[in-house]
This record gives sequence, structure tokens and C-alpha cells, in this order.
Amino acid sequence: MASRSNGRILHGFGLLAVFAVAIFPVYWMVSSSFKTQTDLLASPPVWLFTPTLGNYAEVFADQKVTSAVVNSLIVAVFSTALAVVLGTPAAFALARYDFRGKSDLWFWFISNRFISPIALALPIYILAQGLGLLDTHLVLILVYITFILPIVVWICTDQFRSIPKELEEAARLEGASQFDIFWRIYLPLGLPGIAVSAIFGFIFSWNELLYALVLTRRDVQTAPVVATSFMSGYELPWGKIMATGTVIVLPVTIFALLVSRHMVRGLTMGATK
Amino acid sequence: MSFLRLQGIQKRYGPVSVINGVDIAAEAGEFVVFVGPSGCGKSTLLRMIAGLEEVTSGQVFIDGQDVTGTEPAKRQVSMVFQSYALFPHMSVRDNIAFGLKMSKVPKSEIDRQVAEAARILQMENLLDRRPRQLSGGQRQRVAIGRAIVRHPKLFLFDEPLSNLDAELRSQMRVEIARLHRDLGVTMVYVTHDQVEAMTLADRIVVLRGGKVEQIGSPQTLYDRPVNTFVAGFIGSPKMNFVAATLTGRDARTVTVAHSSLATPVRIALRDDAQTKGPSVGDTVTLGLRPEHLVLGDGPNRMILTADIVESLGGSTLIYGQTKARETMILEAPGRRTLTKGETLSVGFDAAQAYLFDATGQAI
Amino acid sequence: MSNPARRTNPGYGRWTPFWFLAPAVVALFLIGIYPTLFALVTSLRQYNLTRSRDGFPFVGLANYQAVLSDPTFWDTLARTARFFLVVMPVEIALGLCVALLLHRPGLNFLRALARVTLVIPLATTYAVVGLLGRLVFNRDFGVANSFINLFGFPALDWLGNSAGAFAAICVMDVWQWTPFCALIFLSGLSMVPVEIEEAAKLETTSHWALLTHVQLPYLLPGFTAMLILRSADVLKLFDVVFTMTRGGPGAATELISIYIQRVGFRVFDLGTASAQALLLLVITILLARLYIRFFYREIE
Repeated sequence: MASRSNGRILHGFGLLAVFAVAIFPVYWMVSSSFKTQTDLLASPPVWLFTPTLGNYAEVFADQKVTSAVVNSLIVAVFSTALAVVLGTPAAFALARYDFRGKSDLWFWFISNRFISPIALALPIYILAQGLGLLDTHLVLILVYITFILPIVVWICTDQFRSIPKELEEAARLEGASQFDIFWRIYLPLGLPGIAVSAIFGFIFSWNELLYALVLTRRDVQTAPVVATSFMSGYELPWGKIMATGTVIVLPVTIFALLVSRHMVRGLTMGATK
Repeated sequence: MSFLRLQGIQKRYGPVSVINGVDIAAEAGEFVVFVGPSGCGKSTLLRMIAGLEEVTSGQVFIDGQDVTGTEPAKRQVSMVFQSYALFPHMSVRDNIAFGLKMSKVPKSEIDRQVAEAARILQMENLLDRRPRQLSGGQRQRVAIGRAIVRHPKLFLFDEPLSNLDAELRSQMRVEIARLHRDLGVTMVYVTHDQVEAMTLADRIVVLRGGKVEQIGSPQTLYDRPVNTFVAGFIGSPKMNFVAATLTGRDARTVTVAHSSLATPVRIALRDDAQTKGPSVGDTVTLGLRPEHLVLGDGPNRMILTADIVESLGGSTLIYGQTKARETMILEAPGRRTLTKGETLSVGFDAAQAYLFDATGQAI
Repeated sequence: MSNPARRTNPGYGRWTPFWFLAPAVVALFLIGIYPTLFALVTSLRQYNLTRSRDGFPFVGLANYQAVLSDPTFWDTLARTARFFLVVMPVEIALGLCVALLLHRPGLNFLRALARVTLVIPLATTYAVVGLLGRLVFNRDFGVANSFINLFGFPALDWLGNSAGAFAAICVMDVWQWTPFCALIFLSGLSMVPVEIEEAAKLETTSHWALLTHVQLPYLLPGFTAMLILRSADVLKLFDVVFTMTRGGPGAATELISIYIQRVGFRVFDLGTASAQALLLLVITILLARLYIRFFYREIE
């Protein structure tokens, strides 16, 4: 019995360690965001300190940060919405129809998940420059579709395939057109999957740095780009950087916790079920 | 011209043939039941009438029109699915109204029709619920309601009662029979349950392996099954079959002997078997229904060894063995107690005996 | 018999799938394929924005030749491979341990808490992870140094020397991606039928035997999936390293994506960078085909 309770204690310690390590860097960021510059630069680092809201005051007063957050929001919301609008009909077709080249098409959608952004960033940069689209919301919204669309297609195809075929047959007997079936049956019933894929889309586009860095200059810099831009100069404003980081990470963390059950599915796109 | 006619229907999935040339005709207002073991093609056939399944060859006529190439929605048929196929995100009202909405019926007319259907099916109080808030029987009723509002020419039922428990099943069976009587509409009903087939049908189609074995009224199938398959499928408990030997024959009758039969039995031949059929010395199958066997009484006697007794309360099933070790069941009224190994004398009327040749065809 | 007018089903016209698919296909084609083709053309030209006065003459495969004979390109690829070979085994080993801890029955609250917490590193904005790395591994006031001080080691200038910087980006990657491996392993473990696991526990008390004989077969598909997905991700890895070290000091942490970005957007030699990007794309597509061939259930 002794070894059994030892095992239990070890188990508990192990789990606590997992919890502590997983949360520590984020904890450190959040706590640093409440430190004064003096506390931040203390060596060794201080664990107990008088919290200050000064960093946040500075962040929210900085128009660069606030407009970057707004930019990120615009880009994430519109790219996700566009990907859902484009992706759900495609997922419906992949889930319900039989046609030649279907699996090839599906592979092509999914393989976009693997494309390295840097491989696309260059040509898109040149094209956007030619079209005068550099430093616009539109170019980011369009580019982000390349990685959101595969996720929407994957998750929604899966979700649509789980809808019983009899519902579609019943609707057909009742005179519903294919569009009616998609619009009145599949979309409402597929809503949970659509929501999960939209949340993933939002997280991924919110977090994106490389395209945003390359394709924007001044007007539509997104939050990660602005956070990165503070990293120059001799004495870094660590409190402000950490407060900005916290502001950026907070919404996606909440979303991620909402879809935590689907996290692996979203990241691997269903390779493991 | 029949109201519903299937002509030379075949269905293949690649090399696999599931329906091999089926011809069926039904009159307006008839209740037709397709019955058969699973995999016999009965559901496929129904789905071909609905237009949900492609016909490989052959033609489907509804009300005199060739609908083989017609869209399901334009065939004016309604279908009740085994899983009910109710739209889970819509209220009962919207489920029933769906088809009317699709055909752009005016709102006031839809309301009237839905109210009418709800009245017929006694579910006025359920209209604003969602399907998942309903019991199995209620869902069944909604599915039927969705079918009747469109006033179809033809009602199709695909094993509609198989998801219900025994009590509800018999209750819904009565309701469907009443609906058929009240609406007077043609219905085609698929089931694997011969009791449903016997109780509901005007006309039963027995299917096996994608072919029609026999079509006829319940009485015909019971009294004059064309082969051992139909004979065994219709009736519960199943008909007893024993291998007997033909010992004599004249123009209209034959004599068969069996080691457990006290004396050979003289049985009348079917009209069509009088000119051909087996000759003396051939092995034939003698079929006897459990409910036609009488313990210790009757003109012809069979000697069995008692095995097990199952009491059904009001009646008793007695399992016995012939000398050739064939199991026989007989249904006796009241309660009986028997000891294993006891010798039973079982009587039957030769007019209620069935005879089949070596290939299983009735003679 | 094959008279098409009689084919009533499957209930949609020949072109119906096309209309549902067209918007997504056209969009992905315009945003994904067209630029790639454009890059192909660019990679065959001399395309240096800082010397645009020369025009952009066609140079054939010269850019590819230059890239393939460029030792820096091979160095960054080798460095990327080294990075993968360092972090992957660590992430797999730690991930497996974490998964086993989470799979073990009992302590339900702690298990649920730890499981939910694992999602946080995965969702944290990569760029912010890099910023955090800068703070945590700071020579003067970084918490990493005060941690190693606890064990009696002297403070290090992590980001100021090659080995330290490389180690630092590895640590951040391990922090962020171990949960990924853990969650995949965990979902594999949860596929093991409970009866089989319990039957095995009646036979043996050895955790190792249980793992290798009973659970391993259920872990293997996820294992291969994470190898290929992570290798694709490492080829894409940019944000964390860029914000943490910009590839420095020197070229100590210059992974392939960082290098191509530097050539393209700091040197503005788009011809060469396009050639590099396309080579990277080929590698990624090969990986993707491999991955898809192995893991995706065919969509019938």
C-alpha cells in the first residue's frame, strides 16, 4: 500500500510540474507587465513586487498599439469570415458529392497547411506591390485565407459527413434543391464544426507574424508586428512590451480554452482522431 | 392499368447485382408490404420507387406515368424513414411545413395544412417542440405528419416501426392501418417482420436475394405458399419441415411416408402439380404448421419424443423430435407439463399439410 | 441501359459540385498557385530591388545554381535539421511522460487542470513567445539565469553567444510544442480499450511492459504524424526565432525561413530568394505528400 500512495504523490507532483511549466512563461509575462522598470531590471528577478498599471496606461495611450489591435481584429475577423464563406460550400461538395478528381482536390486543399509562408510571402509581396495593395488590410485578409481555408474545409467536411444521409434524402423528397439542402440543413446542423474551424482561423490569423511583417509598412501593422517593433533601441521598454504581449495573447488564450478539446484535431487537421 | 407498376427492375452496384428483374403491380388505395430477410433488396426497391436510388434497368410507373427518370420531388411520393429523418434543428411545425415551404405554398395555406395534419395525428400540443424533446412514437407521428401534408399519390414506409419498443410498435401499427383506411391512399411498406406484413397488408411481396418469391394476399401466402422459403417466412412459430418419402400417387393425390408417421398420409396435390411433380420413391418435404398440430387427436398421427416445453401463459410450445431427429414445434392451448423423453402422439389434418418437392417448390 | 436521361440520381446535376467548389478553388488558386507561378518566373530572372535600374534580365537557372552552390544555404538547412534533431526527441520524450501522467487514473481535478493548461503554450502568439524568450534569457535580469543559479551554475549570456542562443530557441520551442506531442499521445492512449488495459494490469505490474506491449501500437500513428508535422513546422519556423534573435548572434540561429527572409527582404535579392523559396516549397510539398499518403483516411 505504501508504494501505492507514493505513486499517487509522484503522480500529483508530476501533474503540478506540468501545470507550472506550461503556465510559467505566460505567468512571467503577465506579472512582468505589472512591474515597474526598476523591478523589471532587478537582478536577480523579483517575485514579489507592488503591481503597477502604468505599463497598461502607456500601452493604451500608444495609438500605435491600439490601432494595431484594431488592425489585427479586422484582418482576423474578415479573413476568417471569408474563409468560412468560401470553405463551407466546398466542404459540402467534398462531403456529399462524388466526382472525378475529388481526392486530389481534397489533398490540394489540405496540403496548403504545409506551405511555408516565406515561400509565398516573396511572390505575394511583388504582386501586391504591383497592384498597389501593400500595406492594406485586403492583402493580409486574402493571404490569410491560404492557411485558414484548409482548416475550414477539413473540419467542416468531417462535420458534414457525420450528418445522416437520410436528412438530405428526406429534404430531396420534399422538393429541396441542392442549395436548399446546403443552406437549410447542412449549415445549421454543421454549426458546431463551423464555429470550431472559425475559432482556429481567428487564432492562426491573429498570431501570424511573417506575412504581416513583410506586407505591411505603417498603416495596417498588426499587433504582433508592433510588439516586435519595440525590440529596438538601447534600453528596451520591457514593461510596455510585456503589457502589449499580454493584450495580444489574452484573446487567443480564451479562444483556445474554448476549443481545447479540438486543439489537436485543429493542429494536425485530423491526422489523429 | 395498375396504379403502381415496377417492370423488369434491375439494380447493380458495379458487378454486384442486388435486384434481379422485379415485376410488381399494385392498385390504387392498396396497402402493399415488401417483406423479406435483411439484404433481400426490399429497401433498395422502395428507394427506387422514391427516386433516391438509380434504376439500372427497368421502369417505374406511378399513376400511369413513367417516372423512371423523374426527380424524387416531382414524383408526388412521401416517405417515412426508419430513422424518421426529422430535421433536428427545426420545430415540429417547421418539419411538417418543410415540403410546403419548398414548393412555395402561401403561408396561410401552410398553417392550415399543418394544423390539419396535427389534428389527424393528435399532436397539436407538440408543434413547437424540437424532435429531440419527443419520444420515439411522437417522432414517428411527426414523420408521418410531414408525409401527409403534401397529399402524395403514394406513401412509402421504410421499416418505420423497427426503432420502437414492442408495445409502441403494435400501437403504431394500428395507427398506420387506421391512417390508410381514413386517407384511402396507396401505401408501400417495407419490413422484415412478417407479423407487420400479415396484419397491415392487402398485398404482400415476399423478396429474397433481389427476386420476388411470391406476391399475394396474406391469406394466400399463408394457405398456399409457393415454396419452402415463403412457407417458412410467413407464420410464427415457423412451419415444421420433415423429409418424407413419396410412396404412392394418383391423378390428384399422393401418399407420403415418414418414420415417425403411424401410417402414410394421403395429401391432395396442387392443381399445377397434377401433371408433373415427383414420382413414387422421391424424397419430398412435408410442412406442418405448429398451430395445426394437435396433441393426442386428429386423423393422422405422428409419434414424437418430447424435448422442451415453453409456456407462453395462455398456450404452450412443445418441442419434440421425430425418429429421424428432426425438431418439430407444436403450439398447444393451455398449460402442459411433459417430461423429457416422453412419447407424444401428435395429430393433424391432411388438408392442412403442405408438400414441397426436392427443389423446395410447392406441389 | 446507360441512357443518361434516365439516370435519375444521385440527385444533383453534373455541374452542381463545381458550383459549390468553384469559389474556394478559384480563391486558393489566385492567392496560392498564381504567386507561386510568378515566383517561378522571378526565380529565372535577376531581380534585385536595390539594383532595379539594371532591369530584371532573364538569367535562366543561374539563381538556382547560385543557391545550390551557396554554402550559407546549405548551412542554414543543416542548422534547421540540427534544430529539428535536438528538439524533436526532447518533445517526444517529455510529451510521452506528460501524456502518461495525464492518462493515469486518479487525481481528476489536477489532471483536468494540467490538460487544459497544455493548450496555453500552443495558442500563445509565436512572436510573443519570442519576446518572452528575450526577457527570460536576458543575461542581467533573466529568470533563466536565476534558475540555473539555484543549482550553482554561473549566470550565462544566453543570447550573446552561439551555443546559448541556439539552446535558448530550442528551450522555447520545447516549451511551446511539447504539449502538442503530449496531446497527440494522450489521444492515442485514450484509444486503448479500457478492458485491454485492465486485463494487462492483471497480468503485469510493470508500467514498461504495459507501455511497450499494450499501448505502443495505439501510439504509433500519432507518433509518425507528429514527426512529419513538426518537420514541416520547423521548416516554416520564423516568428519565435525572428523576434528572439533575428538569426544571431552571427548566424547561430539562422534557420532556413529566417535566411530566405533576410535574402529577400533585407538584401532585396528577390530572384535568389524566390529560387530558395521554391526549393523550400518543393521540400515541403514532398513532405506533405508523404504525410497525406501515410495518414489521411481516404475521402471516399
